[in-house]
Amino acid sequence: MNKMLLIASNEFSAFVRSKAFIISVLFAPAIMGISVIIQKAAHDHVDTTERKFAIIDATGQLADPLIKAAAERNDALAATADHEALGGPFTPELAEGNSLPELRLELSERVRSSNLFAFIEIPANILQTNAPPDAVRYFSDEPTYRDLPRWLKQALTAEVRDRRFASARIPQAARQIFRQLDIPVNIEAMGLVELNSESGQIEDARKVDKVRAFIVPIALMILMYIIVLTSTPNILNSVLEEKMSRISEVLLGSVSPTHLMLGKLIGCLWIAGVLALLYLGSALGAAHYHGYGDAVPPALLAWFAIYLLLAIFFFGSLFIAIGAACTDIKSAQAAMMPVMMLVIMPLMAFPIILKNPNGNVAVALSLFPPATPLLMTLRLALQPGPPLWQPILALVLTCGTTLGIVWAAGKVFRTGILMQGKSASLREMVRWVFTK
Amino acid sequence: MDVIQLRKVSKSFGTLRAVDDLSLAVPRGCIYGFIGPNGSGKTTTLRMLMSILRPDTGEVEILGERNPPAAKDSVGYLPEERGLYKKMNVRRLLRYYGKLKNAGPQLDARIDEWLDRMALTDWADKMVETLSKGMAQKIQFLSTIIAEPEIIVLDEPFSGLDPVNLEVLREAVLTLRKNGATIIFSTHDMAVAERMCDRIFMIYKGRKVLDGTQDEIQAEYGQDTLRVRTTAGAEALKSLDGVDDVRDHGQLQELRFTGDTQKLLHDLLARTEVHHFEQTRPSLHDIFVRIAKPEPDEGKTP
Repeated sequence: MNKMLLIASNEFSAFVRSKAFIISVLFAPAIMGISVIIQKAAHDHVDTTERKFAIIDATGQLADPLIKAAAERNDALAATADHEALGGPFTPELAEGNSLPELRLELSERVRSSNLFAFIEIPANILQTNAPPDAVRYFSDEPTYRDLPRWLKQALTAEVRDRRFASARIPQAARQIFRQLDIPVNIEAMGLVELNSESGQIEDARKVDKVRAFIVPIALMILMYIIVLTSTPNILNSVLEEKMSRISEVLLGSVSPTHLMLGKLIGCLWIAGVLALLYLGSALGAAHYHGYGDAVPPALLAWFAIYLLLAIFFFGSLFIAIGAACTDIKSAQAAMMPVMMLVIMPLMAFPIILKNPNGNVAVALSLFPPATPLLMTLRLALQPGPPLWQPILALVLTCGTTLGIVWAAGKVFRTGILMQGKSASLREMVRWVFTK
Repeated sequence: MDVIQLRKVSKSFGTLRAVDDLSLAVPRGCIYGFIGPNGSGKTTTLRMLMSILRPDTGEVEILGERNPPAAKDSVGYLPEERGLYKKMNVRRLLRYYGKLKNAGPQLDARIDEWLDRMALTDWADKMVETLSKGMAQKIQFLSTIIAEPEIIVLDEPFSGLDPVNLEVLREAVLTLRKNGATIIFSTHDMAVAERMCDRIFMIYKGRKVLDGTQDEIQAEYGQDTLRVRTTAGAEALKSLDGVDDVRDHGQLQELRFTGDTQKLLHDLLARTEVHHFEQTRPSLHDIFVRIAKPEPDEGKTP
C-alpha cells in the first residue's frame, strides 16, 4: 500500500509541476471570472452600432413606410435612456437598379466592404391574400445578429397587415379592434407547487429558470468531461514515458505491475480530485454570486463524485493499457482515438437527453457504462431527475465494467510494459488479456 | 549460505525457450558473474530473479523466501536498459527510488554520502536531463544501491563507461561486497569478469554451460593453450601437426595444441627464431569463444 501511495504521489507531483496543471489551475478562476465579466458586459454594454441596410422593394409601396418606421424607432432611441431594450439605430436606404441580379451583387459587395450591414428584398406579391406570398429575403454576412431581421419582421408585418385590411375595405375602427383582439397568448413555464412542511402552506410554484433547468446540469456534465479529459490521458503519457525511457523495468524491480498500475490510477484520482475541487469550487462560487447557490444540492455532488471516480478508473485503465502496449507517441495517439471517442460520445448525445430526460433513449444511453458518468450526472441534475433505481443500476453496471476493464488493462500492462520495438495490435492485446 | 537458489527453472516466449532447466546457487557475499552471448538468456534469468518475469516451471528462492516478490526490497536491480526521469532532480529521484525499496530513515544521509563519493554533490539539485551520460550512469547505479539491498543485480553495469567512470563503479562494487552485499552482474567484458568475479556462470542457448570459480572452470579446460612469439609470426604456425585455432594478436599468437609440446617447439625452431613459448590454461575469453562459436553450418539458410 505504501508503495502504491508513493507511486501515486509521484504521479501527482509530476502533474502538479507540469504546464498542463498551471493551465488547468488558471482555468478555474477563469470559470468564475468569465461568468462575472459576461454578466457585467451584458448588463452594462449596449450595442449602439448604427446598422445601415438597403431595401429592394418590388412592391414600390413598402420601402417608404419602412424608412419612416426606422426613423421613428431611431427618434425613440434618441429620446430614451433605456438603450438595453432597443440597441443601435437602423438606417435604411432605398436600392434601385435596372437588373435585379446586378443590384443584388452590388449590394452584396457593399456588405462585404462593410459599407452596408444588410439588405432585404421585398417580393412583389407580399400584399396578396389569395395565396401565401413569397418570403422577404434578408441578405447579410452576419447571420447571428438577429435584432435587425426581428425588427424588420415586426415592422413589415404591421405595415402589410394594415394594407391588407385597407384592400379588404375593413374600416379603421374595426382594424383597431382587431389589433386589440390579436394580442398573442403568452405561456409562462412554471415548476410544480409544493407544500411547505414547516408552515403547512401551499407555496406558489417558481418560474422555470433557464439557468437552473439547463445551464447548471450542462455545466456539471461539462466540468466532469473536462476533469476526465485533463487527468486521464496524462496517465498514458506517464506510462509511455516510463516505457520509452526504460524506467518501467527499474520500477518493476521494486513493485509488482499491479501495484504500479494501481498507484498510477490513485495518482490520477488525486489529480482529478484537485481539479474537481478547483473547478467545482469556482463554479459553485460563481453560482452563489449569481444567486444560484442552492442549484447544486449535496446529493447531486455526491453522485458527481462517485461517477467521477468510476470514470477515472474506467478511462484511466484504458489509457494505461494503451501506454503499455505502444512503443512510441505516434502509435499511442492512433490507439487512443477510440478511447477518446468513448469519452466524447456522451457529450454528443446530451441534446437527446435534454429533449426528453426520462425517455427510453435517455435511459438506455445513461445505462451504457462508458457514458454513464456524464449522462447519468446530467439526468440527475435535470428536473425531475430519474427514478432512484436508474442511477443505482447504472452504478452497479459501471462498477462491474470498470472492474473488468481494470483487470484486463492490468493483464495488458503486465505484458506490454516490458515489450520494446513494435507496438502491440488489438489482437495481441486481446490475446494477452486471455493468456494465463 | 546461498542467498539465491534457482531450481530447474525454465521460461519460454512463444516457441523460443529462453531459459531451459536452469539450476543455480549464489553464495552470500560473493561477486557472481553472468556471462553469455547476446540472446542466450542472461537478462531473462535476471528478470526472473527480480520477479519481473515468472518462470514457467521450476522454483526461485531469494534469501530463503520461496515467494520471490516478497524479497523485492532486499534486491537492488540495475537493468541493462537504463531509465531515469529526465524532469526530476537528482536528489528527488534517488529518494523516490530509495523509498520504493523501503529504504530506512538514513536515506537522505546515504544520498549525500554516495553523491559525495561519486563527486556528484554539485549536481544533487540539478535536473537529470542536464547530466552527462557518464553522470547519468553513475546516478542510475546509485539508485540501485541507495537502499542498501542485501543482493545487488547489475545487468551490464560497465557497458558504455569511459575508463575513469568504469574504475569508480568497479571500486563501488567492491566496497559494497566488502560491506556484505552479494553482487550478481552480467557482462560481455571477460577481462572485467576475470578480475572481479569470485564465481562465474555462463549461459548459452538458455542452458547453463559453466558454473564455478575461475580456477575450476579453467582447470576443466586443461593446459591446452600455447602463447607463442616468433620472428615469422603466425606464418610459422601454418600446417603444423596438432595446432588448432590460431589467434593472431600481432606480436603474439595464441593457439590450442594437442600433442608433444617439446616436438612443437623443436619444429618451430627449425622454421624461425622463437622469443616466447608458454604453455598455459585457456583464458575466460577463449573458453567463451570456444563455447559460443557458431557451428560451421550455423546461420546458413537450408
